[in-house]
Amino acid sequence: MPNKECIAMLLAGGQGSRLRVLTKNLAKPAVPFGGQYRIIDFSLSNCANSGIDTVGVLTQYKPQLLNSYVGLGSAWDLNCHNGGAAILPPYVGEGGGAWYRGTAHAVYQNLDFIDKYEPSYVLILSGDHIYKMDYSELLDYHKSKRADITIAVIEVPWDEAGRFGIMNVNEDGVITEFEEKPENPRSNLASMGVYVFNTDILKKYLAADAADSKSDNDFGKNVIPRMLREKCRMIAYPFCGYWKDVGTIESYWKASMDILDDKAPLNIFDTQWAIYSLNTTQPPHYLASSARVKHSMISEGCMIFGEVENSIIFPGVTVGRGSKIRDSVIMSNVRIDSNVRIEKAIVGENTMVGEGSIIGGEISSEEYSGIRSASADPKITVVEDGLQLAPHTRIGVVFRMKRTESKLSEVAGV
Amino acid sequence: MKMKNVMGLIHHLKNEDVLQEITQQRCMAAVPFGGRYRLVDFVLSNMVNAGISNIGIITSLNLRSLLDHLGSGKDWGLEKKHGGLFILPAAHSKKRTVGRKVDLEDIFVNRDYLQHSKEKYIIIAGSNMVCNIDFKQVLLFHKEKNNDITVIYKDNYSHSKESKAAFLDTDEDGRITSLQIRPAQKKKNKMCMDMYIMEKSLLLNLLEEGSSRKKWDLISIFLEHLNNLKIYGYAHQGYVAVIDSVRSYYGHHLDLLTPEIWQELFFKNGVIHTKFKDGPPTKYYDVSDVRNALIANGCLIEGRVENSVLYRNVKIGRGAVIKNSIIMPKVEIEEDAVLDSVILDKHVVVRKGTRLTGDKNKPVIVKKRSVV
Repeated sequence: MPNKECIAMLLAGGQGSRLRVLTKNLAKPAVPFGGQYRIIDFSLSNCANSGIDTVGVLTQYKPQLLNSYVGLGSAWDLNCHNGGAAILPPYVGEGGGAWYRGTAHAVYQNLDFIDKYEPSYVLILSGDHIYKMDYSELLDYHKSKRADITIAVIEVPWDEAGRFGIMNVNEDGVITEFEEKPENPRSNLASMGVYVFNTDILKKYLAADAADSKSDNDFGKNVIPRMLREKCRMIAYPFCGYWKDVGTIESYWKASMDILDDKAPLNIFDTQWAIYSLNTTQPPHYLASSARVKHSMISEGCMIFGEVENSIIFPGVTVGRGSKIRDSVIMSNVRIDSNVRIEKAIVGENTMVGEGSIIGGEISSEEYSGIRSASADPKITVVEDGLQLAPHTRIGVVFRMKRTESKLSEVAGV
Repeated sequence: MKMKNVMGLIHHLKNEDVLQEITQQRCMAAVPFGGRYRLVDFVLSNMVNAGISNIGIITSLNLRSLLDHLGSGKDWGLEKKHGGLFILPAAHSKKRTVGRKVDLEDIFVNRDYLQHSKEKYIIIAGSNMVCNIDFKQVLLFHKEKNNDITVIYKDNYSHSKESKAAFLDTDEDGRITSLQIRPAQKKKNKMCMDMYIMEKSLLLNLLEEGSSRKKWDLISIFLEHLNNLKIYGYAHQGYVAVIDSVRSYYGHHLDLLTPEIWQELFFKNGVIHTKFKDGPPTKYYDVSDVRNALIANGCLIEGRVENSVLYRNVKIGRGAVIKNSIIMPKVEIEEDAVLDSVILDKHVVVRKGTRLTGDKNKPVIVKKRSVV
């Protein structure tokens, strides 16, 4: 079997607990995104578009959906005779088995998979970022810099820098400092969680990390700092495009609104760098005479009788007559009966919303007349998948009485 | 009901010129329909959804787009070690064949395929009768009645003048007593849907019979056997769109704007499968105004759309107005164009400010890749 120049290991085992109920039943990379996709589609499509045809997908947390979704990778054109996508779950061997203790441990447990292809380079990816990136350019950069490891980096807003692995580089792009989630960041150059390793270096440091009983077996926390201490040649690859870690409800919602933007920083309509996904065939969607749709994305199989504004509607959704959806993300096969109001909410797959329900938003007591409170930005309401909401359910609504009334009251949210 | 014992055969339609420019570069089976499908998808999906996994499709010479569409049959679940999808050539006889409803000669030249197939029963159907039908029920009827041949028909079908459909009469029990193409009397409104179930061995016998007498029209053969074979009609209760003229092609597209028909045709007895294509959802801008429309994925809509069907990846510029129209994939309509009652074939570009108006009875057809 001819060896591969570069294969990818895609870390897809994370729980993503900060996505709350969105990851209650599935792993973070499997969370639906952008009206047609799942988060992992972006990394897998990047692989396919970059000419990387061998991808090990490391799964652990609630993997059923993810495993069957990725399959052999044919939806991303990754199926080939020598390579393709391979699901790599934790396993038991002669010496017993172990759950993946951290990102580095997950890859270490699958060195056999890497060895099978004898690659010169290994690309480590995360399955939970929204971005388009040509990994072949990253690889060329890595080679031209004769690096041991190249880390893709992006400038993030200073106030968010504490969420990331932050580094300092010298004028040659050599990484001089690296701190995982620093309290007082001294730079805003964040690691994107995208690394190219020389295979021999990767194997050496994974073995050293595995032998260290004090290690958390994490690339960002342990392996990269160790490499820095031991004076490896570590290069930062500056990335200028759009990149979003959708690790929180707020960033998920923000990224969804970004994709909806007329000048979307990430263009999913670009056929030169298409984002692939696995979907069932659905008929074109139907907009009734009563439908009003503004600044929104609507997918196949939907029937829209109400109003949709500034929202993303996944396949197979019904929006009943008189219902108003605004600033929201409605996932697949949600059924919304008539006269429902949904504002700044994320509604999980297959949920049924009874007529007259109000979800999300901040609303005055005269509601239904559509007056929007001028007060601070309402919080994002998240509704779990598979719920059956009775008619006139109210969720996550701050219900304000008129000023003339004597008291303010609140209706309980989730 | 075990459908493993049934094979499917999609026959080749002989009236390919009825759709004018639309069938100039593609055969009837490959004609786009319903916003993202081809006509063949409906009959193929009906067969697959009933559990049939050995399907032959007889093709015309104009088959490039059909082959492109079908590929290995994977998107219909027909990429199999046993059975699957078989592309069969038509007989391409030099004689005039247009009058034939189901051309036995086409089947005759492929009789090896029938003989090799292990299934006991065969369903023969064409691709111009668009419906969502449960073939399991038809087979059940066929067996319960102990029929030799079951003919699927649509009752109370009001046929247009240009219709070339066959019509049948049955007795009270459902046995067919007459079968005619373009009958004179209006009372015959049981339209034959050109879908038949019989045992494969009977079909092989009929083929021999047709071959020995060079009589190649299945319906004429049936007519001779009305007395000695049990030929029964099965009434299809649901919607059917007969595509046999530009007018019906256009009109049936607009039928899909009725939610009940949309629901039935695309979902009733299983979803309609088609070639899988990647693409983003459709994007509506602040200025878009769309009502009563069927819109496929990947469109970018800045204009006004009413009472129309948009296929995949259509772009509609700001200020453009589209009414009562069928817009096929990858059409680009520039700003302020005004279209009413038109059919735009794939890759058409409509330049800024262009006005095109057809008639509901005679929509304007714009050929593939034209710029207007």
